[in-house]
Amino acid sequence: MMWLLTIAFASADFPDAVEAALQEAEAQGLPEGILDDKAAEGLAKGLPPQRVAGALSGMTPGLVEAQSLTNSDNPQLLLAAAAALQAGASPTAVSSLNSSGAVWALGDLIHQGHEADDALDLVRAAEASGTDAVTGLASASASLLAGGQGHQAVAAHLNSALSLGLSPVAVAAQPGLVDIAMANDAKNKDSKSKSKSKSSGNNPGNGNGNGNGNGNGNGNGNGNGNGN
Amino acid sequence: METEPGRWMVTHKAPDRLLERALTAPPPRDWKPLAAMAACLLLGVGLGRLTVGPPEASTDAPVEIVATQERVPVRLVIHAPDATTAGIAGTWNDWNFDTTPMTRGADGTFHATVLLDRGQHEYMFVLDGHNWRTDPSATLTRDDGFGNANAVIEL
Repeated sequence: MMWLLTIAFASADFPDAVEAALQEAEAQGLPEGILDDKAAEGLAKGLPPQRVAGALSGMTPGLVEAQSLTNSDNPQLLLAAAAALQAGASPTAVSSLNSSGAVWALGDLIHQGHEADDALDLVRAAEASGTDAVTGLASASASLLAGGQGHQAVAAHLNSALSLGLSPVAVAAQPGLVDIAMANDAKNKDSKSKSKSKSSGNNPGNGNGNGNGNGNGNGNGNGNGNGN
Repeated sequence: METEPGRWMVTHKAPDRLLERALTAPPPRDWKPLAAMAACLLLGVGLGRLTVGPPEASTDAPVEIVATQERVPVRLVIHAPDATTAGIAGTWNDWNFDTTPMTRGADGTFHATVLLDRGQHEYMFVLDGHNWRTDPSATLTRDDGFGNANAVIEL
């Protein structure tokens, strides 16, 4: 029984030329199966096996470099790193990122035309603000670029969004969100500042001065109570 | 038909991916057709998928797509009035467009809803079984390494 099932559900064999390219990749130390999906994709698209094999062979050196750089056998990370390096990311930038999602984002941003340093700053800011931000970063950038903004404006826009804790995807869907959030932020800071000075003046030497009425939970007015 | 919030109803056939892959995958070099047919038949009967006579439930019955924190329903659309059929091939279905057929609307717009894991997915539309097309409305695309571009969904 088992042998029947094994035959029926054996993983798809690839044509000889493709199989040879896959084996060559493994012989160079790449993780087993790392290019299987790409091979299946090329064959599904109706490309001749020789052409698929050529594409796979062309990808192998980049993957080997990515493996050496990241010291990882995670296929997703290696594929992302190879794509980022090919897009023009520096090895230092690639190896400084923590996840395959971040590395994909770096490569995608550079591929979209962002300066490599700007792209890296954006990805780092997104990483610092949460993994969800990294996931939508390249899509958000593409969407804003398609809307007619220049690369520097898009980078500045997304950096502002990330610093305000906004999701890049939400900002891409509604670019005005950043302006609204910045206006609210300025209002809050203004309110906080007024509360602080009021608190300072009214409670000399108290050191607690409530003054928190700005609604963001940060302005606890702990002013040092110097009583000036 | 009423649905709870966060639930979607679609009416395309539910593919049994495991069985379908076995039936559509290219044969291995040591291919034994009779043995493979017997195995498929045994497994099909075992799963209750292949039956003689009327099936217990129509495969055209609506398939419920339920959103979860890990899986997100995505509706993909392409306007292709000259096409007769359309499907979606992507990283989630091993680039097998037969498993994600699209429904044709009266205006020549095809649509399908797929339930995808969070993360990244690449895909292309396939018109009339052979015409591979990048999603014209995709904001993010990636070189596929074969001279075309895959659309990318980030969830």
